[in-house]
Amino acid sequence: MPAATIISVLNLLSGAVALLISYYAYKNNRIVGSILLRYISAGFLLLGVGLFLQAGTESLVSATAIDALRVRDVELVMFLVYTALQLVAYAVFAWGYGLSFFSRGTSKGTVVPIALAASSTLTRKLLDGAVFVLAIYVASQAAIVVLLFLIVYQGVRVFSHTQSNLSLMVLFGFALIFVAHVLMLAAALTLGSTIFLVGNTIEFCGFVSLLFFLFWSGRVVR
Amino acid sequence: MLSGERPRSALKIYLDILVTVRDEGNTRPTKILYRANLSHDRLVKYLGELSAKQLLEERQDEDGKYYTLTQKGLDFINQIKKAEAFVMGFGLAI
Repeated sequence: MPAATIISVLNLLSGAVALLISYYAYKNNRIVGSILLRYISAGFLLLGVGLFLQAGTESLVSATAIDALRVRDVELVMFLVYTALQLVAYAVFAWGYGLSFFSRGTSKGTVVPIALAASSTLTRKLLDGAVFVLAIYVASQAAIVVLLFLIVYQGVRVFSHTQSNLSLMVLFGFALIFVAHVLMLAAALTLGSTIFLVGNTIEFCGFVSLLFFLFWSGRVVR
Repeated sequence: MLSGERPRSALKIYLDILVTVRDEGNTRPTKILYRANLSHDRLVKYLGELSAKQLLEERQDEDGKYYTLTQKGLDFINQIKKAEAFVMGFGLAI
């Protein structure tokens, strides 16, 4: 089975989980009335829509974002849009989790140039036509990694405070998604299809962990 | 989010009262007052609200008033418990 098909299916399933979590966050927000739940609902909605669109494009053009990075055709712009959607989604999560707490921590301003400088392949590629789109794609992936780092860090704080299995499931889910996006960034820098496939698989596992959380939180009735 | 003790929300107080009545069965106001840790004035206010929403049913016998949980009240408890578990995953409390 081609990598694009596998990744398309994984993104479709991940998108479905994201939309499900968005719905439950919206539903619970109507009961609890929390600003964080509104952020979570909006974030997962954007993420779900982005993943669905990405899955549709991958299926339609039979190419992954990495294939599009290689040939730098019009599909790259579409994948850039989906990455931008994910970036906004994770920014919404991070903001909801209290981004101001981390204002003295890691900044994307340092990470992005380091990531860019890490690849000689990319340096060569930057010399021709689609430089701008390519650079934005990589920078967006780097920014997503930074935001996910902040989200995971906050997840660790939440778990250390609550010590609950539910917050552990959320932390585990976001940690896997963080690792997945580190690999996707590496794949974008090296144009490695296998790394990209592994990254997407790990991202899917992260969403499965969030699905477990949704399932267990729905079963908790004492 | 992680700022330690905070005042109970109205929703949490509703839940504490309803769970007390669910666990105790036919429950006198005094029992609810102790279990839900409320002042008399607040207890009267919340019991009035819960009765008006038909989550509790107020009844009377020779010893005075008592409260029972309605089916709507039981469904409400389940709904709130699920919402509580969901928000706990993100480090929140109801």
